[in-house]
Amino acid sequence: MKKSSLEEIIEKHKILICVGSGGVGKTTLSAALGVRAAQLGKKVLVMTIDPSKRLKIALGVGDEQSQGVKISKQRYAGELHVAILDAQTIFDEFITSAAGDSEEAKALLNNMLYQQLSTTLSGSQEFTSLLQLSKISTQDEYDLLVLDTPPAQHAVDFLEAPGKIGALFEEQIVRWFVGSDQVGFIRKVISAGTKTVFSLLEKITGSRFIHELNGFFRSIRSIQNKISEKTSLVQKILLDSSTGFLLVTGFDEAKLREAEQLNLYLEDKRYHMLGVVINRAFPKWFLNKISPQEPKVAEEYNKWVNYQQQREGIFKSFSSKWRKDIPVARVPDFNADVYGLDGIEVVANELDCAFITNHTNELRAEEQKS
Amino acid sequence: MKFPNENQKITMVTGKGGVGKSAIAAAIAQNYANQGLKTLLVELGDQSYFEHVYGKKITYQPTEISRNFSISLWGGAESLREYVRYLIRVEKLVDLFFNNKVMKTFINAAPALKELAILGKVTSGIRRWGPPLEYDRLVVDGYSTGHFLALLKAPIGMSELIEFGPMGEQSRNISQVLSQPHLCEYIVVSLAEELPVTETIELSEDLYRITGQRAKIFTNKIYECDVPSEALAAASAHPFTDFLNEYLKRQKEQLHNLSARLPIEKTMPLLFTPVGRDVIDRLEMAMQ
Repeated sequence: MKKSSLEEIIEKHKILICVGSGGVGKTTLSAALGVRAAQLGKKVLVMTIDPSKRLKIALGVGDEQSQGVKISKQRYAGELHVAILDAQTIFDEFITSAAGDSEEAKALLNNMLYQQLSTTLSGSQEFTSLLQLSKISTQDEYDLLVLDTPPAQHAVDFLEAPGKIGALFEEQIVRWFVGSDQVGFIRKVISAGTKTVFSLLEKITGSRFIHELNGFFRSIRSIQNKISEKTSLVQKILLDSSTGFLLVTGFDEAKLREAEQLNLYLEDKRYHMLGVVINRAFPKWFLNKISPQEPKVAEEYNKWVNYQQQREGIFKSFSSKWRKDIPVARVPDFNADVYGLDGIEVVANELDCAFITNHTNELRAEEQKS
Repeated sequence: MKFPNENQKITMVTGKGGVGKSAIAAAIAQNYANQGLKTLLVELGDQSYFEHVYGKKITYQPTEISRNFSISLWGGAESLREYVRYLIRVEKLVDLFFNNKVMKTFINAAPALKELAILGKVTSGIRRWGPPLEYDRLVVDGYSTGHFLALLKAPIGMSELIEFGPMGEQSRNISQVLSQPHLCEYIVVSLAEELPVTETIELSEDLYRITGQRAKIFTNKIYECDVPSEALAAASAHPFTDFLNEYLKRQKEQLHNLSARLPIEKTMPLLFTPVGRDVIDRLEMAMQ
């Protein structure tokens, strides 16, 4: 089965989401995808929540450009835009737009628990990037959106986020907390079990917490429906056939193991996995295969080759279990930090090559032999 | 403020994703164990990495790997459960609490409670609160930068909200333990590469702001090339030689950038093996 080239992937989708564990180079690769798309004539927006200062400098953007700003000094057939998402701002904006300028909105924004939770809520960074994604996608201004996901402990966290947050705002839950605002509250219809749990909670966390909790959920009441709407919309977008996922991983065992899990998860939930990108998979000189003549240098060369071969072995033990129809792009280690838009263009070229290179075929041939 | 068990010391290891925190944390733990100190290596979260390295099942309760060296995996949910169990004491009530759909949803969505419970567990030996944790040393393989900072901030945020409950008081004690240099130290692992170096500098500043402590910097995967320069010059046409020269140049530059801002406590070598166990044993040797 013919595997997609990067160009095909870009042409056939409206949204590309880069998922993977932290520290694998997702942000740089997302930017590179954006560049490639712009080179192909697309008006593209790269959305990232956690770019390094260096990337910001490279792209020439400041903080808090949640809507997207066009990169200056670009010379592409299309247009490259970048949005740096700020979770707090997006969340606050969302609350305000959902609840209008009402007292409830103000109360919620001022609620201590909201302030604590809105940035630390499990998946709030993920949720807000998805919120922003759905907002911008509905506006339909761009040919392609590339979403870089936040560095999470587990790559799966990204996809679990809407569900977790959505669950919190379900009627059942909200109703439970909106009982009364008295310290030793009593609800009209309450089971003995629920009463017990509440008093336990109060015993542990104290009356202040319960009070804030109450206020939080009362304020949420008015925007509950909006949140449910949003989480449903987000899910729809994620599952749509024009939304594709690229799994980014590294060449070491821990990262490959995580990637394996994520892979299974994506398949299980029926998200569209378009390919796996292995970042820093091999040093560029490794393709050469001719040893240096000088004996001491040759010795060092062998040391490095041996190391790389061991890593290849580990990689094979994982990749042999992957589906054969998914392209695996192995991007080389540049042995240099990526500087400026030029640097990202280099990465984009390598990414392009990696998708159609023979390396994956070589690997397949080797597997067939063994 | 004095705590019940000030003989126990905590080492927290953090750094950018991919720098080798876990290997370094394990090496530090093995090193302590071999000095005769009863050591617990702690992984955080729901999945064990060390399970694959040491070939033993790692769970909440410590798994003994060798004399003086055990490993535990502490996740938020279990830590919180243990905490509530210790506070409420009646198992049936604890079950009721955690089986309640609303509580489950809330705990699931609001990590601060779980993070607080994890820190509570980590400091429980020193505070002598909860089930006994009688170790001389606790080495925590922490989360990477962002998540680690969120973990450390949990008691601060929560203690404002939970002023009066037992959890509030504990939050304050937990923060206290974490900010005493004779009880808890922070190790930030970095590579000699631009992104990790920049992140290390920022992280150290953030750690100082939150805990009042100066983190110790460990550089990892530092390549020592003992090929004589004449040999390199003789092989100058080969791409591999270019690679070595560039690599060493870049490494030197980044180490300079880092050490200009922060003192480097230890330098760990690039080991030409990807096998987890070997790496840890050799790092341990390099630490002695």
